[in-house]
Amino acid sequence: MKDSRTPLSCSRRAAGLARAAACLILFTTAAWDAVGASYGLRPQPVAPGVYVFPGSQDALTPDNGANIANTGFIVGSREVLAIEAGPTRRYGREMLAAIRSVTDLPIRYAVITHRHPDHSFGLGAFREAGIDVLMHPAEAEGLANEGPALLELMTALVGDAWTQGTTIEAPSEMLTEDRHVDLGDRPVDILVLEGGHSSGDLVVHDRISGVAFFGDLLFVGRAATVPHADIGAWLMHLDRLESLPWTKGVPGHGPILEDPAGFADTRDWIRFLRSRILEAVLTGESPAEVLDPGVPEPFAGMVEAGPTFGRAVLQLYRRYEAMDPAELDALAQ
Amino acid sequence: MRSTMLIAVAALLITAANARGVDPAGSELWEDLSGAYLGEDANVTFNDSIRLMMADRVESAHEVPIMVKVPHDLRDMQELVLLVDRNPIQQVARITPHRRIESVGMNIRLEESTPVRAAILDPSGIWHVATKSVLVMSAGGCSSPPPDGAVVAAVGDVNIKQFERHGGASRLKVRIHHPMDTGFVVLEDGDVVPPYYVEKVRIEDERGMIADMLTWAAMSRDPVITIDLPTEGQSVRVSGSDSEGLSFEGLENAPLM
Repeated sequence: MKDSRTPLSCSRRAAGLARAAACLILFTTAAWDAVGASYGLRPQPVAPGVYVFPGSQDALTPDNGANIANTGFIVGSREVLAIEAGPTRRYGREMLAAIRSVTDLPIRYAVITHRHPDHSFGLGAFREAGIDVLMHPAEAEGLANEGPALLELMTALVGDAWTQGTTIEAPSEMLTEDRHVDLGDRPVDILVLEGGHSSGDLVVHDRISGVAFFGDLLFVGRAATVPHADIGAWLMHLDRLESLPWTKGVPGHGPILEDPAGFADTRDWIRFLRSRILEAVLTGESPAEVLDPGVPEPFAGMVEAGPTFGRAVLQLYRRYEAMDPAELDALAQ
Repeated sequence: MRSTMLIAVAALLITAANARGVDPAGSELWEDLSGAYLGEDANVTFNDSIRLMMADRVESAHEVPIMVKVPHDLRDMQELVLLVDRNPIQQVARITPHRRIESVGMNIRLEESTPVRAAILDPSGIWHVATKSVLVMSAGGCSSPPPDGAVVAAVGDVNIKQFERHGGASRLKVRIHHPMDTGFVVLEDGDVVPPYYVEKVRIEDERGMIADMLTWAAMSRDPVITIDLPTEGQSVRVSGSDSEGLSFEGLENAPLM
C-alpha cells in the first residue's frame, strides 16, 4: 500500500533539486539549444592592463548560461592574474582564450572570490591549464560539499550544453591571510575578508591602476544574496573596502563604480534585511507576514529583488529565531 | 417554454456549482478535495475576505510559512481546515477553536505547484474558503529528505512563547519538536522512511481550552503553530500525541524549554 503511494519519491537531495529544477524549466522559456553556443566574452578595458568581462544582470537562464557575475584580469609586465573562473568549465576556457586575445604572458593566478557557482564552477579550466587557483579554505570546503548538488541545479536551469564538461574542482592554494603578489611592475593585493558575505571572500586590489575587484561583497543594482552572510561583519567589511584607495570598483554583480555611492545598494539592502527580520522575530511575526507585502521601496526595483527577498527572509528568520535573547540584543545593538 | 426550460437548467447548474463553489484556482482536484475533507454535501463559498498569506513563489518546499487572517465576521468559526490540492497528504490540519481566534499560522510542506486552501466553517454550516495558488520552484516538500539532513533531537519537546499585540491582544507561538515524517521519503538504499507525525494538539490555559487540532505530516518538521487571541493566555499549556502513541506536553514559562 505504502509503495503504491510513493510515485513522488526521490532518493537523494541532489536528485530532488535536479527534479525540482527540471520543473522550473517548464516555467522558463524553452531550453536554449546551446550546442556550439558561446559566452562571447570580450575583454572590456577599465584601466591600462585591467579588463572586465561583465556578467548579465539577469537570473540564471538558458540564454545566459549562468554568466551573471563579473570576472576579469590584470596584466603585469611578466604575468597575468585572473579574477573568478565563471560559472562553467566552458566559460573558464573561453575566458582563458579571451585573455589570450590581449596578452601572451603566462596566466599565473586565478583568484576565486568565494564558493558560489557563478564565480567558481569554471575553475577546472584554470587547473587543467596549470594555473594557481587561490581560494579561502572554508569556501573551498563549501564548494566541495555543496558543489555537486548545485551543479545539477544549474544544469537544470541553464541546460547541459553550457555545463557539459564542468566538474567540481578544488583550488590549488588556500588563502587565510592577505597576500601580496607582483605580476611584474604590477603589485597586486589579495585581501581576505572573513565571515561577512561568505566564510572567506577575497578582494583583489591593483595598486597601479587602483582598480578593485570586490567580488560579492558588493552588489550594484542587484539584490545581494545572504545564504552564508553575517550582516554585521559584512557591513564592517564594506567600510574597510570603501576606505581602500580604489579608483574603480568592480562589484560581483552590476556596473563598475567610479565612486562609493554605489556601496549604498548593498549596505542599505542588507541593513534593511537584518532590521526587518530581527523585528519580525522579536515581535513573533510570521515570515509569511513579512513576505506578504512584497519587497518595499526603495529596494523593489533591484534586479532579482523578489526572489532574493523570499530566500533571505526564510534564511535569516531561521537563524535569528535560533539565537538566545543576548545574541538578539547584540544584533539589535 | 423553451427559454423557461433553459433558465431552469441554468439555475440547476448554478445551484450545483454553488454547492461546491466555483474554484477561483480552477483546480480539477477541488471537487474531490472538498468532498473528502469538507463533506460530500458541504455548502461551500469562496470568500476573499479571508487572507491567506504566503509566498507566491516557493523554493524551500519543506517549510513554507503560512498565516490565515480570519475576518471579524468569521471569528465565531466552528472549524478551520487547511488543505493542499496537489500534495500526497492533502489535509494539513483541522483546528477547532474554543475562543475567538483572529489568525492561525503554521509551516507546511508543499510537494509541487498547487492551490492552498483555508476553509472556515461558520456557525450556520457554510464553509468559507480562501485560495492561494503557489508556484513551487523546487518540488518535493513531502517526498524528498529534509535539505539540511538534521535529526530532531528531543521529539515531543514543546516551546511556547507569547507576544503582546495591540490593545491587550496576544499572539501564541508554539513549536513542537517532531520529525513529521510523511512516509513518502525513500532513502538511497531504497528504504522508505515510515510516516511518523503529530496527530493531536490541545492548547489551553487557566480559563480552559483555546483550541484543539488534528494534524498530519503535511505540517513541516518541528511545526510552528501561531494563534492570535483577543486577550493574553494565562499559563498556557500545550499537549498532544503522535502517530506512535507518544504523548507530549509543554507549559508556558517552564524552565529549560
